[in-house]
Amino acid sequence: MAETDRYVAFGTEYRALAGLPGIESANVWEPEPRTPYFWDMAA
Amino acid sequence: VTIIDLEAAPLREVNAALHRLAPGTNEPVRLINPRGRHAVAAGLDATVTIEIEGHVGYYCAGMNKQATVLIHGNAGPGLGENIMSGRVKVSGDASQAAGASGQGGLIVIGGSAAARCGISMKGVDIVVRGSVGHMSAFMAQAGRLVILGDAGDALGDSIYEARLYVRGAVRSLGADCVEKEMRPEHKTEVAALLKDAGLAEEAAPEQFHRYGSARELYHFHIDNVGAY
Repeated sequence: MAETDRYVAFGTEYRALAGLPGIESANVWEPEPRTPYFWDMAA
Repeated sequence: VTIIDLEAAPLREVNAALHRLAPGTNEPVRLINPRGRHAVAAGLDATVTIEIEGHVGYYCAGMNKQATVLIHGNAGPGLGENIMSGRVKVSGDASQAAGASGQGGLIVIGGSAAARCGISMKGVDIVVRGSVGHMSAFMAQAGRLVILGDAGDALGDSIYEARLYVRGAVRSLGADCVEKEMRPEHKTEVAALLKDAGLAEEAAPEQFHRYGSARELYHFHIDNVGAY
């Protein structure tokens, strides 16, 4: 997963995300199995 | 320091050049812009130090011999798989199967490791500053796995003689893995590994629990046939 203020992206590996804008400063992490994650858009 | 930009130089040529380094080379090499490429600095066999600035993909520093590989970023699956000797250190997180089948050397993970950390480890030492995911040390045969955080489900499933040290909580133990007494020699062992990993300030050996094989499964026993 890659999170920035502008987007949440997911890919099978970092290579798939490496071209995204602002990826250098994104929060990059691996989700836990069997765990749902939710995001919401502020307004 | 030799600086190589992986956006400019083909990875295959960079790795080939690293393989040609003579034994005893001590000119450090810095690789920049890895951008998740696979097998960066894999197959090294020289006492060189390689620093990688950024995230790497699959199998970084796989099959490493002698070299020190420092990754300033995260690592994808199979970090340091089949490591023979030397050391591999990642500042961030490592994905699945870090140190898989490693025969020797040391892997230090500054963040957390995902599932199957140390799967089938055969002598490598792995120190994880954070936590590890499920099925870590699955079928681990030898070596030491030190976890400063927590371990996920089925830690040490079907383990042979590797020694597992966990400071935090273990969600569940795998088949034939049991908690064992932390004797003085084990505290000494943990202290040495923490020191080697540069984490002696962060944890005390007394805080760890030891896990290992109950040795009920790996010799054939007819009463266990349902568990095999």
